[in-house]
Amino acid sequence: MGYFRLALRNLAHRPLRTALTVTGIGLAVAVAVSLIGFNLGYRQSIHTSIDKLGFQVMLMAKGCPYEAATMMLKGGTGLLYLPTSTFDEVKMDPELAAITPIFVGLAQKEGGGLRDDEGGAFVVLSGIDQASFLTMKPWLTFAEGPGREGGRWFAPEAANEVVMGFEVAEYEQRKVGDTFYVTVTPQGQTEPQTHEMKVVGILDRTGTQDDGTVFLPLSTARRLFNRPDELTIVGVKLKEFSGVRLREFEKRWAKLPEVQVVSLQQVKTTLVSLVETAQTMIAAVAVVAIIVAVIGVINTILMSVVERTGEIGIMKAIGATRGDIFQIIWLETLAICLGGGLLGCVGALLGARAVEAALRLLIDVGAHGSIVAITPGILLGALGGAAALGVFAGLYPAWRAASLRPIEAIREGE
Amino acid sequence: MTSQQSSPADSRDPATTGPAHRSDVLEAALPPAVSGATLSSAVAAGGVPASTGGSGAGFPHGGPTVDRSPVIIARGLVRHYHRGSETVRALDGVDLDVRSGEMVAILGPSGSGKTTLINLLSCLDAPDAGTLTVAGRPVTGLGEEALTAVRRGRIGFVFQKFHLLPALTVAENVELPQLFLEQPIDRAHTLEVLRAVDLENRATHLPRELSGGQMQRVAVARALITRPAILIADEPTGNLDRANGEALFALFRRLIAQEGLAVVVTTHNHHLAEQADRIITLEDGRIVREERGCGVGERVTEGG
Repeated sequence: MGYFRLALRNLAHRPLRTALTVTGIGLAVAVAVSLIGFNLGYRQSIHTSIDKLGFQVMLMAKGCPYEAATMMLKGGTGLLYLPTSTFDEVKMDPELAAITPIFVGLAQKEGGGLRDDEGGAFVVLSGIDQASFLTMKPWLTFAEGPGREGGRWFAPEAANEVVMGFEVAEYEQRKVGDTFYVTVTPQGQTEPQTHEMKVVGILDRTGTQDDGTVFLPLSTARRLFNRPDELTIVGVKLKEFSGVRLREFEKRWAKLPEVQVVSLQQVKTTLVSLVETAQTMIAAVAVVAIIVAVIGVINTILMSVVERTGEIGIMKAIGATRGDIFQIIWLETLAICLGGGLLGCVGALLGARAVEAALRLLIDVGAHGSIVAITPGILLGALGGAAALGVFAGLYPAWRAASLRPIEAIREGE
Repeated sequence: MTSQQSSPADSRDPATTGPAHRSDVLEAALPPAVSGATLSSAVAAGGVPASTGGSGAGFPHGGPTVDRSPVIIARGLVRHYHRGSETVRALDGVDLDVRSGEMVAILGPSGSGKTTLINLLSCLDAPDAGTLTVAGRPVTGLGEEALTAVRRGRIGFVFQKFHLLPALTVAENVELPQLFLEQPIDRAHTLEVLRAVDLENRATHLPRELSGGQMQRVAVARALITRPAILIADEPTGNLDRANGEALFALFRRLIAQEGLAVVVTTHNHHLAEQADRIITLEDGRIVREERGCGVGERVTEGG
């Protein structure tokens, strides 16, 4: 039996107290691991989502850049529109490599799903020009498997054909050939109209906002919403993308009324800064949780030292040196913190999805795919951090115990 | 104040002649471990074993040699405590020698200085004045860590309240001093020691599963596992009934007979104290009386 085993036996002798203390550390570590995992995962997710938009710059109606960013990535609400003439003018720009017009609209639907600001369930409709859209996103392919065979793009002017993203098809439980009802309120009308559409294809998973989108021909989308001459976004790919070229492009087209030019780098920065604000608050909570947990550990070990004053005295009487006692108590603290660290890591791994769901509820993350990435490095760091906390938290109780004089400790213990 | 008269042999420098560690002296002479049946039977019977010779039957450490040199030499021990403005003269000039192979009982009313004296003799505390040599080591003026170094492996402790670690099994409690001394732990040896105190079948039990008498015997086994030269017992029968108290003293007598151990024991029980070789009575921090117990003449030979 070594000192570490002796320390473990001492902890096991007070199972409830040990379990509560380990749980306290575990919770703090789980919060910290989840937060760091969220930070990493979210950045990766944002980068993936934006890189897979296919275009480097977009033109959209002037408004809040945060709203613009989330609208571009997720759909969002409170859409603003550009006149088609903007597209016609910009497509003449000599620096363009490619350009695509997009009309985004929200369709109401019954049951669950995304909800708008009023709490109504909705699905994102994206009217696209298939040819130019696929030039931007050549990686879009149709999913295979039962119910997805024979997927194809809609005819350019089809009035009632849609292609569904992977996630929305799964959520709505639609197969190729199924009917899909979309209910929209056209501009100028108060009563919603329901349209019967046919699913002609289901896209393979991309890990981007496209997975949650229902695509239909641009002309059809504009007709459904009674906005025949409007667009939501104009996606642009420049021949040469650099800061200079971007500024030049922006200068050329910012002169248009009601138009803002947003580069994807700006969007990334905007989204990351948006979430960093929330992260700072959560980080503060995590730091407080860790401080409270460490105080709890110190308190628990100090209580244990006081309760075991007699035991410590007897150990010293029968030959334990100050160093021996220091090690035993210190190892107890270390074991508690390492146990809490392990528990926290397991909890964070198991709870990652729950944390992600909670985050998506709390904030508009504007990214698709998993946004919590708990890597082995994070877990090792968490365990190392927990061990460091144990080393720190154990110093004072261990010193207190080691400083007890055996004769007084035995007397106090009686 | 009374002190034991030193014979010429007593005046030898214990640092050179005394057993610094009992095993150092006894190792070569000890026969192999043997069954603990004799001791166990004696303990179970609650009486003094018939055999008091040095044949060594019963305890795993083997038999004794007859080295009766002093293992504790105290001269003019003084220990004062300060309680506010008041100075308590807990010990006020005590001379005492304790030899290998003898049991010294310390009697006295509460507050007479028994525990203070035993704390000094066991190197748990340091005297304010006087000189003290324990197991051949001068300990006067040593600090806590140096005192610990003297205690380690040389002095075994038995306390009134047993003081077993509740988280550890009986065997692990017994092995605890070896852990601190970084000695190899041999479970077979532990079981032999436990057999000697008739607790071999309780090795895996926790202290809470034992009776008071059994716990005190575990404490004795723990005190003996490192083969100390001196056994210090502070009111060891205080929490035991009469039968268990007598059994414990019988065990002490057996250890002295077989192991040549020096035993210093404090007690309030005159009947039990009678079983010691010498009975020291303390009052107000001074030795006021020294008597011979029933063991005198059988085991103590002046000058070793």
